[in-house]
Amino acid sequence: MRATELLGCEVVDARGRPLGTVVDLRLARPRPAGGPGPFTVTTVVVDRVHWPHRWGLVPARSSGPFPLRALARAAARGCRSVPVGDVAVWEPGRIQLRSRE
Amino acid sequence: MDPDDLPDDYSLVLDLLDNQVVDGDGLPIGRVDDVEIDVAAGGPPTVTGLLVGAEALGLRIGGLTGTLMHTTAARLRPAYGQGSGAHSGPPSVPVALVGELRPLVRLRVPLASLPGFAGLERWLAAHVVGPLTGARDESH
Repeated sequence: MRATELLGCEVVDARGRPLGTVVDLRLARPRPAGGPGPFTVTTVVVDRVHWPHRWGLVPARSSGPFPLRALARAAARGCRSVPVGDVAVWEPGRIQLRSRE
Repeated sequence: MDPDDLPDDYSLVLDLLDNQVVDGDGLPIGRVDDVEIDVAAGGPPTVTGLLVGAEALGLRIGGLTGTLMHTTAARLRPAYGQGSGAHSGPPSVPVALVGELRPLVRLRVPLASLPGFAGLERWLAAHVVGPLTGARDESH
C-alpha cells in the first residue's frame, strides 16, 4: 500500500460514523546499536480539515510571529491522534477504528 | 531510559514526503514521492521502502497528468530483477538503505548500486552525453 493512498482517506469509528480524514501518519524508528531500525507507523493523525497540515501549520512545528502560531493552534483544535492499535481495518480510501469496550 | 534509546519520531507529511534524497556520495537523486507501507495483520504497519521518481509521483498526482507521467516513466525505467524477483512498479529504496532523514534523506549507498533509478538520466548519459567529444575527458 502506498502512504498517499492513506492520506485523505476517510476514518470512521466502529459504528461507521465519520471522524474525519487522515492528514498525517506518525512514524517511529528505533535506534538499536547496529544502526537505525525499520520505521513503524505509530499514530494516525485525523482531522476534519486538511489544509493546515498541507501548509505545515502544525503547532509543534510552527515558529515565527504570534499570529501564525495562534493560527496553527486554532487550526489544530479538532485534530486527533489515533494509535495504530485502535485501527481495525486498513483500506485505501477507508480506515475503521475498533470499538472501545 | 536513556534519551538515545528512544525511537526517533517522524511525520510522514512534514519529514518524508517531498524531502530531498541524496545517495551515499551526497548526490541528489530525487525526492520522496511516496512511501510503501506494509499493513500486515497482527502488527503495526511498517514502512518498507521510499518511492522516488516520476512513476511514483504520477500515481500520487493521478488524473490525466499523473497517468501520462506514470506511464512515460514506467516505459523509460530499465527492467531490473530477474524471474520471480523481477521488480514491478515504481523504483523503491529499501528502508534498510536509508540513513538519516533530517534535514535530507541520506542513503547509505551510492546511486550506482540502486538498479532501476534515474532511467532517463542513465540512458541520456550513455547514449547522448557520453558520445560527445570531451565527455569522457576526466581531466577537465
